[in-house]
Amino acid sequence: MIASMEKRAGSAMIFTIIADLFKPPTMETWQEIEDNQLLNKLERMARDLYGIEFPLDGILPEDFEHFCELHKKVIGSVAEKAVLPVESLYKPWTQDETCTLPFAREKGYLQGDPTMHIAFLLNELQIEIPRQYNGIPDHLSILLELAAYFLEHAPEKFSREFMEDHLDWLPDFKTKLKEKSAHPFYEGITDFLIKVIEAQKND
Amino acid sequence: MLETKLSRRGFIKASAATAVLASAGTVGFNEWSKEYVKASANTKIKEIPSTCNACSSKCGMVGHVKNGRLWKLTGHPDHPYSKGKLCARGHGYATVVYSQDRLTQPLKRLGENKFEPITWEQAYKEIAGKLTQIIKEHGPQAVALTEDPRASGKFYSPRFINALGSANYYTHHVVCSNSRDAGFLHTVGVTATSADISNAKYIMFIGRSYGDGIRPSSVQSLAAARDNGAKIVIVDPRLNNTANLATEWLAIRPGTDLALVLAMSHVLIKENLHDLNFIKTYTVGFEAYAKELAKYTPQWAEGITGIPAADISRIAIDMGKAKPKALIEQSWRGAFGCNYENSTETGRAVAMFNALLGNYQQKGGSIFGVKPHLGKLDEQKYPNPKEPEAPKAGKKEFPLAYEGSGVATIVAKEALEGKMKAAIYYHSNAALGYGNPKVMKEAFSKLDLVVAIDVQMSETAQLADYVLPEVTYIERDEVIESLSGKVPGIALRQQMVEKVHPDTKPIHEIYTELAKACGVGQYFNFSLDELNEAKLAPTGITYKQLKEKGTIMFPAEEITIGEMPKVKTPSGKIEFYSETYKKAGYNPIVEWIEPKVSPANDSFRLITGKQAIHSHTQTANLPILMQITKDYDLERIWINPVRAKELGIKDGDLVEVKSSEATSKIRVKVTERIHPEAIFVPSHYGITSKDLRTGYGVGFSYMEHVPFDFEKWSGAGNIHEVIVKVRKVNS
Repeated sequence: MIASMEKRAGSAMIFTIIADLFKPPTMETWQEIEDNQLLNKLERMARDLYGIEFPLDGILPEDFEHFCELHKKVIGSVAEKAVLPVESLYKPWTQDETCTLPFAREKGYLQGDPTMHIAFLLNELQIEIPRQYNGIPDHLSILLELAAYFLEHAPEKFSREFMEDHLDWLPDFKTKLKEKSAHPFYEGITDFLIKVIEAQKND
Repeated sequence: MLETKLSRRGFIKASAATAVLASAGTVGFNEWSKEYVKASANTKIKEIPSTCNACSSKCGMVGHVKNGRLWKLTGHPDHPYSKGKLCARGHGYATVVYSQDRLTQPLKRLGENKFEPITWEQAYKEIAGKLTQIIKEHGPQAVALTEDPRASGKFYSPRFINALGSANYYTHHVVCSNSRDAGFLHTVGVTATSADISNAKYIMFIGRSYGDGIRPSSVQSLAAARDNGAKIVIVDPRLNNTANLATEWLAIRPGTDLALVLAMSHVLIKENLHDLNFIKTYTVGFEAYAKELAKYTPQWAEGITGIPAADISRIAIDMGKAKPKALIEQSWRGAFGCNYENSTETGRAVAMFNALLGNYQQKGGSIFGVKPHLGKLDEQKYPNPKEPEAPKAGKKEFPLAYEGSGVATIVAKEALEGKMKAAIYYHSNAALGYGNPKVMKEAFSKLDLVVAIDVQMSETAQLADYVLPEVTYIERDEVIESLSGKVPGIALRQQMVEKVHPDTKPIHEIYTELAKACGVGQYFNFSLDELNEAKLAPTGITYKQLKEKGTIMFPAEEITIGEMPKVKTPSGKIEFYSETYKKAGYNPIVEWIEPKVSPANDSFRLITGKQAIHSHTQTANLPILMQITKDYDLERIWINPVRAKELGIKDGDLVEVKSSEATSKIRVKVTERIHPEAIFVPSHYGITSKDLRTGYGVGFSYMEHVPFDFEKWSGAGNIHEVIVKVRKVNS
């Protein structure tokens, strides 16, 4: 059994690494994946921490260029009809019943209530994020890094609540990825993430 | 423990205090949400007056902003177009600000449908480099800029292209109102009058539909006229959505409106119902026109228009009796904005018909609006670009076209001829909407540089070498809008919310920065605020006041009914006979012109028009509006039941529409609301950009069927000069 502190740090690291995989790829990330067997290590860690078996075989992009292309096409670029990993898009825009905008209760729009909540948390906790994410602080990479941070530093109830609140849309995201069906990489990582979150919640 | 460098590459930067705060706990989403909603009741709502952007009317609206997000929209009560109301598309279009299909970064083309994000610095550097090189090799006349103008664009776009030494500034009017504008300009000295609808007793609309191209105040005025007992006649091959307020529908054969107006003019004179006093005082060339009109009898027009001679006479006589509170509404695109080879001459005849009625500057008649007196930038401090040496491309071919708009499709023509080398498109989907898309695409491929500035990946953006992302109208301040009318006024578009995507920019910043990169930054050495302050200077209104009110009218400058202003034609009068036409090699007197093409017994004329929930193709990608289309099958074409029966077509059937240019498949709406010789297709569909996920694949674009063409007088697109055959097909 991994000691509690170490387990929290380990869980946080898994979330941090997955957060990185949803960011625009860098050569550093690619080298970690290719040379440092990152995905195998993730598998192993999930097994050690949560006792889950989830193979990530056969999902690797061909090379760094392919990785960049995939990111753009699958989750990064509007011009490529990408499936954006932003929480607000998968939830009704607002619960504010006084809001009379025609799309108030619709899904598919940016800056919904989740954005407001994350912005609130970031402000309360004095956490800064990169400028290009200011309008979409509920991007999956930010959410996962926050989850990692809370796992390590906040009471357990807090991180559990955070994951229940802000990472519950991933099955819908996965469905959209499947429809896009461009390459198994992001689908695989998302599947893996869903399993990890489930295990973390049940832990 | 897993060893990886990635754990150090985190985005979030937490302060030392964070851990403490996090440990102390804070609220979860549900709790926060409840608090948020509860607290919302007491949250201060900021009301920011601005203007809509869902169509060219730019109605005044008020954005109600709560916690930094848009929360409600209402019509601006003081704005003359909205009068406190917004139309459906006005409400729907606002969703664009939070759309996931927006452009978020500058893009550079890598190949067919392949783009890479680049920085603004790289975009400016490379675009400027290419523009400079093109100008060096081919001269500034090889560079053009086209837009669907809004307040900032109207000021910055021509200034930018002029700064590069080119006169080639164009607007979308080539497929909107170029013909009407030219016809009116050379008759009454302005491209458009307005109409005192609420006080009119007899109103004729030719192709124009207040119920479809909605401006809330126009609908209110028409309803008031109807309540006052006005006769309202719709002349349209399609019974459009103004029908609810109309008293009569003349299902005219498309393309023959000119014959109707000529015959009605004939009747007015024959019945001595024209306003001879007005004609003697304010017009020239009446005798020559009256002589020409002698042959255009109602019987003659019946054969051409399909409208019984008795109806033509009755309506003309009734209008003559109701004068000056009778008018043919000036229209916009309607039936004679840009549709037929005879559209400019129809526009001219309409302006002349109103002159025969003597209704100009009369209660219930046509109105020459007045503009507010606004100031300019101090030229000593902020120099204007020099007047370009070469004339605007297209001026030689179409000398009658209104120069302020030009003939935008000349850019494509000259690109195909190898003369035009660079084109910038701002807020303009020219590739899909201005000319046949295949021709436009080919023309774009011949250009060395195409730049598109837009909020979404339009068909034009898809063909561009560089795509520059603009903020939406909800996220930007603009130049003061001048409102012309019976009472002049000003309106200000203002930023309501922080920009959603940090790498998008407002157009005034884009032009200013690009100008610097092009080495002409000296013509953009002012801020937007300085420009607006300069404009406001003569009005006595402060910028702060305007920002607070959003729309300010000047009732002291209201026109005086019965007082004709000086007409801005060469003669200073309304011209039934045009020396300008004569000098340009055209007939100085209006005569009947046949449409360019005519359907046979087994074919139809393809006509198009607006629907109340959409605007051009710019709203087709908005789920909230497209859902209405889907719920009511609005993308279908309309066919008359008699013709449908002959072809074995039933309501809802899938058919093939085939023209000389394209073949499309679409379902049909069988309705008596369409002339038997016409097929109606709404103009908002047929999006081919796959990046516009909601709009893509719904309906077809009528422009695919329109041959690339120029009307002889104004250069307009002749968008109804299309013959199609229709047959039932299986899926």
